[in-house]
Amino acid sequence: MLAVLTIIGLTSALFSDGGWGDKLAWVCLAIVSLVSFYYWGLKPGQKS
Amino acid sequence: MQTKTLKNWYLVHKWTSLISTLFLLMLCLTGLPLIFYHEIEHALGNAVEPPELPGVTTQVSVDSIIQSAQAKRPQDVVQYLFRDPDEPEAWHVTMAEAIDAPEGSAFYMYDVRTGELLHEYPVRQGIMYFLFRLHLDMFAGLSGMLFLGAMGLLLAASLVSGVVVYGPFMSKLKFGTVRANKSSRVKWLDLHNLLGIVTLTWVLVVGLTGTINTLSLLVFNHWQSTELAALAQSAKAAQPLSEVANPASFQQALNAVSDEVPQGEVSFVAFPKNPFSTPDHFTFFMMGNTPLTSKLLTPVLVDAGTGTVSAVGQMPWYVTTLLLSQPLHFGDYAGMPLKILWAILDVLAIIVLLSGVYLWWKKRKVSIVDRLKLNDSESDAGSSVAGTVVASGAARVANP
Repeated sequence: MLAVLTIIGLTSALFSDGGWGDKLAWVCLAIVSLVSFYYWGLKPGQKS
Repeated sequence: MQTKTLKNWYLVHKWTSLISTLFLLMLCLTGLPLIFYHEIEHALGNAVEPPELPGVTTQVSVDSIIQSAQAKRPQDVVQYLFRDPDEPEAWHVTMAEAIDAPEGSAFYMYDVRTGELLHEYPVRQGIMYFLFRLHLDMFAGLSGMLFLGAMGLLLAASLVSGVVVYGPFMSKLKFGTVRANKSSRVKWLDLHNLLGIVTLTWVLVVGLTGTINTLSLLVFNHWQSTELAALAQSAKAAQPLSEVANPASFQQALNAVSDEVPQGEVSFVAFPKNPFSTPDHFTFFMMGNTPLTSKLLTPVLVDAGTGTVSAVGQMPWYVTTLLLSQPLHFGDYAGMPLKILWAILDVLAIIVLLSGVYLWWKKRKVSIVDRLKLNDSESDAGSSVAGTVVASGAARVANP
């Protein structure tokens, strides 16, 4: 899932010039980054 | 998985990582400011924006810009002209001590509307140049580039083997678990695994496109000696440029290209006798007008004697691959938000690298089997999730 999101994020902006593709890239790669911080910030025992 | 197989994968992960980590760390650290190269250069005053000139739509002849640049350095020659698609109000002129010199001697920015010299870029100096060269070739030229390319291949091997080794450690552990209440080593192991798996695809793409970029000199050398030579052969100039009494002006050549390739924008122009051109032609490298083709180049040969288009070529697959790999490595193709995300992912990759070194240092004399067992003792074996996964991992290793 993360790999698919990253690939969509990396490629969608290649086909866009300031349009939807750029925004899709931002959203996909932002989700990937946020996943890291979300799990990093979870306390042991907290439900994910 | 068989014990031996897992051990082998672990050894691949360990040694490919150990050999390449120092260089990858350097690449990630220098790459971080390079993501914001444009912004930092402007902030440092090493680059400027063309001024706002409301209502001015006229453009001066490019010949006057070339003459101005030539007058500033009469001992040098004009090597290239560049257009930046983000700054269509400017022409950039590269001067060099010789037409085939590997590096320019001066780099000017001119206003296309007034012909005024806007800026002279500092050449081969400044912190960003230092970081760029460190990142590009460690000041070692082609051998440095190829060496860093080899480090990129080691990175790919490290990532693939890391995923294989990740399985037995993490298969029963909930995704993303960071056992912060355990020992420092367990906490950093979990963080290494979490950040490594989350950034895996991004690091793999940026690493492999970086490796492709290290081949750029070889790729263009090959293109020049094969495709460009064949194109020049098929588009011989009417007369050798050295025998033409009154050669055409550059502006004439530019007009001819605009007529012949109206859907394209000039990216850069190599002057005659330049390695990117022929002795008798200007070679215009045109960008397409769609988002994807704007990242690709089409070579157009213009007879420098007559100012007419001699041939429009196509870039071969290997140059196209190189050109497409560049934005995927630089992260500069979707505005500032993408640059910021690129920087965040880069920082996460730095943490993965540093935590990998830390984990190796702490347990460098412990085998992979013992490591799985050791994980067991550092966890609340039996009842905890961590204990379960470690126990199952160890069992899998012991009983493949």
